[in-house]
Amino acid sequence: MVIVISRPVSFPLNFLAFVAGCLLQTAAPAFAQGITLTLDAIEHPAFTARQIGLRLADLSGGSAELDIGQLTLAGREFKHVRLRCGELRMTSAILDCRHGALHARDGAALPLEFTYRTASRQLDLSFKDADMAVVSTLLPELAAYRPGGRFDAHVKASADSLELALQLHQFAFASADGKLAGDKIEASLTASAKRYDASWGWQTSMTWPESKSGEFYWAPLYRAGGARLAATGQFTPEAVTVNEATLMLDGIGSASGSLQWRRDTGSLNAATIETGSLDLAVAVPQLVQPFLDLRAGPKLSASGTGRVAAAWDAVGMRQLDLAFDGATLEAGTAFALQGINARIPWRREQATQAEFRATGGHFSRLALGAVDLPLAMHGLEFSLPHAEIPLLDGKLLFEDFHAAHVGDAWQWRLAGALHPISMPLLTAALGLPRMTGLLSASIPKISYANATLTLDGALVISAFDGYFSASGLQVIDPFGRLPRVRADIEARHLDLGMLTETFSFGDIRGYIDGDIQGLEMSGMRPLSFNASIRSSPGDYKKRISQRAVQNISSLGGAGAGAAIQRSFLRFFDTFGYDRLGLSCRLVNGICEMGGIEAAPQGYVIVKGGGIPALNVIGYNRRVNWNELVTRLQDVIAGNSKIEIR
Amino acid sequence: MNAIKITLSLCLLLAVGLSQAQAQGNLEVNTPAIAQLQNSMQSRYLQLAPLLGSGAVGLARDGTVQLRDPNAVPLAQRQAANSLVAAENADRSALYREIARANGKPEWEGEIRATFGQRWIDKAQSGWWVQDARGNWMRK
Repeated sequence: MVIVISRPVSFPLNFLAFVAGCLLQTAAPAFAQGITLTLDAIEHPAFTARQIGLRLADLSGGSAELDIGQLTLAGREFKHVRLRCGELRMTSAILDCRHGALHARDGAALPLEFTYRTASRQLDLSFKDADMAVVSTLLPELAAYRPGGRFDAHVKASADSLELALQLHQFAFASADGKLAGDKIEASLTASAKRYDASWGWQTSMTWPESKSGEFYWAPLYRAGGARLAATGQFTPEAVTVNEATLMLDGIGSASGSLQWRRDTGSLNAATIETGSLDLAVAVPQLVQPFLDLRAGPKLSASGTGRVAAAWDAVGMRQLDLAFDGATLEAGTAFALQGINARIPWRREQATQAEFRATGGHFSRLALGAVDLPLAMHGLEFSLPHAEIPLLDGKLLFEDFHAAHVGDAWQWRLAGALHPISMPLLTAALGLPRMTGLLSASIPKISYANATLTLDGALVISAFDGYFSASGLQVIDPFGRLPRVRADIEARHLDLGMLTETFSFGDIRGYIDGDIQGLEMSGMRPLSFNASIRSSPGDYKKRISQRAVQNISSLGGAGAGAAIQRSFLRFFDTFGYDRLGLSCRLVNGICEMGGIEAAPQGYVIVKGGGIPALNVIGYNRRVNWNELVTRLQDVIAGNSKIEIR
Repeated sequence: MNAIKITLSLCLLLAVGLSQAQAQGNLEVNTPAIAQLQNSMQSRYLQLAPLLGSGAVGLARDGTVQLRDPNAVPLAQRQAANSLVAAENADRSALYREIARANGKPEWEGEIRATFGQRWIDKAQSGWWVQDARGNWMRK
């Protein structure tokens, strides 16, 4: 028997069951050989179906096959939908499909069973051990994620409610750009929704066990199980709202939040997040380090606990609260702070005050004392009127720190000073030869803008009974791969006795002045400069030891030693001198050397005076910089093999 | 390049291969900073080579390396691959800038980057993925 309805008709959803019921009651004997029902279209508020063909083996119960050429459901269009039921039971009260399958265009099938009750208009739909890949053939927008694995699902739906229970087995997916992916995920999800006029209220929970439950990557974050999510919210034509969501990450802690997303503009309206106490030893490497790695940033490690709370509106982040309790933060071996207790309440449109305290730490090899930074904040402006950081037996003093985000870059400035620290302590901490005296410095103003750190005024460091002064100091790209330093440095009245004793250079009595003009360094290695040292003006004792003469000679290479007056010198430990000096102009790795005055085929490094008199002459005008540094290191290490004969 | 003539001799691609760049007057560019970058890149090459071989990472036209097919990297190692690529590109950018500066011509950086980009691609091993002139990826 064949029934054909060739015009579009509007039916209630229980139309098929109704038709079937009528047929059963009135014409049952005629259908022993099966029935084919063809409809041009069915229109319903929830769906529209066109080119419908229904083939029934037996109306009293048996197999059935439904073909729909085009199905529009929830605003989505499906073509060539084929549903087979191994056993279909139809009455006026119920439509029941057992051992069914939903077939995709390529022939793959999703095994399913469903029951539709006409009185309550409720649909119970189950998928068991279904192939996730088949879903992507039915829902083409999922195909780009190449889903794999299997799933069990149970859906209970009516016009006003929806319930879903889903189990994922070996679930895998990957976005084309590789930024979102999962593999071998074993997880379960439940969700329910209830209709209130034009809106739906919903709630969901997801459990992803910790052990052997697959892995998930959301660039740049990675997680291998151990997560639970629960959320409630509303869905309206205008917005999607998450009233409250709670995420538990095993080993790290929990976070709760809310969200309001405008569907009409496709934009964020509001969001909040607040974590519980997080274990920083796990949270930093898992949640913070991946973002630093994207920018080739430093390697961080941490311990202690921390909390984060943040809120966004349509403009962007409007508040951020950070708290640390007994935390330690380390950036490799370069920097560390311990015992951090901090409360940082940042507000976009309010002035607030942060508290940041640490019990100590280290910068490179230098131990830092307790730190107290009362940072004032107002939007993207930060200021710190005064801070002190104990450093060895002195302290670093910061004044008038001010930072602001201007355009798309940060600018900051500060003034400061280094209150005297003893050189023996400093040199011991840095692993340098022991120096005596005190180190102190005045920093009139340091500013940072356009990726350049600039020192206004002069950085003055007292040392060796004289001082070093650096002016025009600039550090270009200080936080980059290869910081570049420019400066002019002058040194005045340095005690040669202290200097040569410190560096085991022999013994020279007197004072020197020095200048390094146009110093340019890249990656802390000098590229170019024009440097000279010379005896300081004034009347003072000037003596040089034989050992020092040897060492100076060795710096100039073998040629310098040849000019030393030989014969009787070996009988004297020290010699008088009138003045000494040496210059080096570094260009392209070559040091163009000179002395205090010209000599035949060379230059005078030490001009003798008194008795016995001694001149040291340099002959090598061009010396490879690396070679010179090696020689200097050899001299300091006492490995010089140059001999005076 | 108009004002300069740069000769690049790539000794070991991605590892050392930096170069001698000569400007009009026999400018030596093998500065200590460049040597430092070379060492850094060379030590990273052992980790980068498998990613280049698998096609997960390719040589881009702009003188960088790119994670062109993250899905070729196991999920657990994808973070490390990102980190590796970011670090390599930071070194490369510093290198191009340094060579330009060492030539006394910071404004040459863009041209040096482009020149290196092409040379990396020319010297790439067979089977590696490289970008063509239109930015499309192709297997060499």
